[in-house]
Amino acid sequence: MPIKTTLNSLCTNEIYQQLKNDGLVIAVGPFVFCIKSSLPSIASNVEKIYGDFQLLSHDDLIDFYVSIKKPKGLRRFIKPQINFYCDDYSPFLPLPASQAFPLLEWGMNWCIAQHAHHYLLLHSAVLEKNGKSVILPAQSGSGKSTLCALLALNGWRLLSDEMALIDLQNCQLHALARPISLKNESIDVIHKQACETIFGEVVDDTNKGTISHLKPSTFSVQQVEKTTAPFAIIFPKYQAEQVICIESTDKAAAFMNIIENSFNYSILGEAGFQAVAELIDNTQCHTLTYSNTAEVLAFFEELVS
Amino acid sequence: MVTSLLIQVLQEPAIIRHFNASDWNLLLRQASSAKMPARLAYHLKAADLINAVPDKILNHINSEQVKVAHLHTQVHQEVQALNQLFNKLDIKAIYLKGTAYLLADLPLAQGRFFSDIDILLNQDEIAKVEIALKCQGWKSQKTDDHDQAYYRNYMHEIPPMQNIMRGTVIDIHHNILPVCNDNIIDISLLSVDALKLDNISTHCQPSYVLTPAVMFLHSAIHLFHEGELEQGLRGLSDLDILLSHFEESETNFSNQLIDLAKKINQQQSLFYAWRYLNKVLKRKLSTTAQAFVGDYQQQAPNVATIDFIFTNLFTAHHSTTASWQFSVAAQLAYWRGHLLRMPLRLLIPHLMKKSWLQLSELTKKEPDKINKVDALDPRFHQLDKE
Repeated sequence: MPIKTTLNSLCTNEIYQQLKNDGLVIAVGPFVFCIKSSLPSIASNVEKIYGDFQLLSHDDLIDFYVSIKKPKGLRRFIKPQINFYCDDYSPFLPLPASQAFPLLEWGMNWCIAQHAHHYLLLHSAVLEKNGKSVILPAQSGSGKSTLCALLALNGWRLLSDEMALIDLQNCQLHALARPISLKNESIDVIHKQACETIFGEVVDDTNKGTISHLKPSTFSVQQVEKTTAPFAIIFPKYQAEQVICIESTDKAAAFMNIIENSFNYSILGEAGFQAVAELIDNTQCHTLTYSNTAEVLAFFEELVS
Repeated sequence: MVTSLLIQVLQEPAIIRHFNASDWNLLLRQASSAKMPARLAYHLKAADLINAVPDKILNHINSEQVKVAHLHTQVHQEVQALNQLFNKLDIKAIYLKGTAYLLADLPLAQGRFFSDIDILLNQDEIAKVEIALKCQGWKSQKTDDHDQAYYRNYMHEIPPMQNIMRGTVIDIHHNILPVCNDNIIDISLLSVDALKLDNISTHCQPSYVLTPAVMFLHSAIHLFHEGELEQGLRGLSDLDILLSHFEESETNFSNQLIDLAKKINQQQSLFYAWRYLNKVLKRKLSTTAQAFVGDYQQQAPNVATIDFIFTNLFTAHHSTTASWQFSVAAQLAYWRGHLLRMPLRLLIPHLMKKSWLQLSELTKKEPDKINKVDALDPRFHQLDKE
């Protein structure tokens, strides 16, 4: 296998210049993004978080041209704002300039959710150990990202924190290995877990509170092209003071829960139904309520042993 | 004027055989901004070139087709419900544009996205239908009095109605051009021969669409009265595909078009349609069409200006095609569009009122509230309403 060039091979200034000029081209799982921005905060965060990602060029096929730009006119100076663009189109309202990197992350999610209908897309974390992949579908606020970060720091391969990509042809899971978006108290919780964690800039006052992105492990990024078959679906719920509780989920209920967490189930029509049916048929499904880190890690360890 | 890569491919699809990665990147970007990735697929399939498209690009094209298929399913369901309602009211409604192409199963419908269901009714039936629709959960999208009056007094349609549960939008027309102009089209000339489609099995009741010549001419009239041409190239490509289909299925289609255009005094729209199909997409015209275009050119007003507008705007509206000519053409088209909709004596008061309303709306807004959108979860951002 040829050795791939990663972003780490560029120096700080080269990253800044590429972002500022023609755009920095990187592979993010099955997608290729061209990222453009002259904002120093984008450059520093991209360098810190995306270092292990494969570097490509404008001679490669590119899926998404994304950029973070300051608006023209006076708004550049008074309470500066920034916009996200997918090519020439801006799908969101502007945000304060301090939120540039989180906005880039959300924007990249948006690109995939809007345009990748060759996958069944679930709002879900996905991790793998011993060749067994676990899907953790959940709404925001259920502690999904915290759990995902915990597992990723304990030897699990991160496929995705935010989105499961399930191939409609063969039901295999594709990985993104994007940074894990942590909110509020979770940032400290994960910081305490391991000393070698690398975080992006901590951004306060977003509409979800304080946010910081955890750098994905090098080995997760290196293995991003490896697809796996789904092994289990766990619907997680963090509940303070709760002793760990695992209940097997009825298949029909799991089906409905998956639909609720899907970005594109309704658009896919029959193909979506077939994909969810196959997914549910081939996995064990449980609901998990927990509060204790050691307990929950032990449960996942046993699940895939 | 630089011919965009998208237009080059529409003119001569075989050039994709020599494409490198950056050509493909550019083509996909331009096609997406023109809302034409699925149209591209249509032409590449027809030219047996789809196998030459790289998988990565094909994924985007297929995703677009998945979205369109979903839309078409929704439209079929809406039509089924609407047909039942029209049947109960004993009204013959004619479906127009995108919905009509879909119901008539025309090749043009393949991969064609559209945002509203357009229907044509007799003016005296509109009140009855509007009330019936309101009872079934459709509400008017325009809430302010000025907009309501603008549509009802001057336009050829009532304000769009949206289903509060499903979000679908219906445009109810009683003519095909605004009725505040001097040259009002006698709509009965167009609707009298409407075709009854044999689709009772899927839609409960028969549906009606315009005859081929009327359908084509309506599409042309619509395109060449439009002031905002972001999707102008797709509109021209629509005419191209309709023409190819009807030239085969109809006898003397060119003559049918000329007769019809004369009858409703819309020779100019037909002239533009043929002229720009030939100029922009390099379509070969029939001898009859060529003769008509040659004759009409002698009497057509401002041909040079109109050429400047349309040859510059019938392209992908994308940062890679930007030029000063494009910007000037877009401004000209904008004012042309307004003047064609309304005579100046009505247009000036309308625009003044509109600007005043927008200004007073702007001062009311608290700037900080604007950021309350939930950007974290992509599902909060509905699929693009193209």
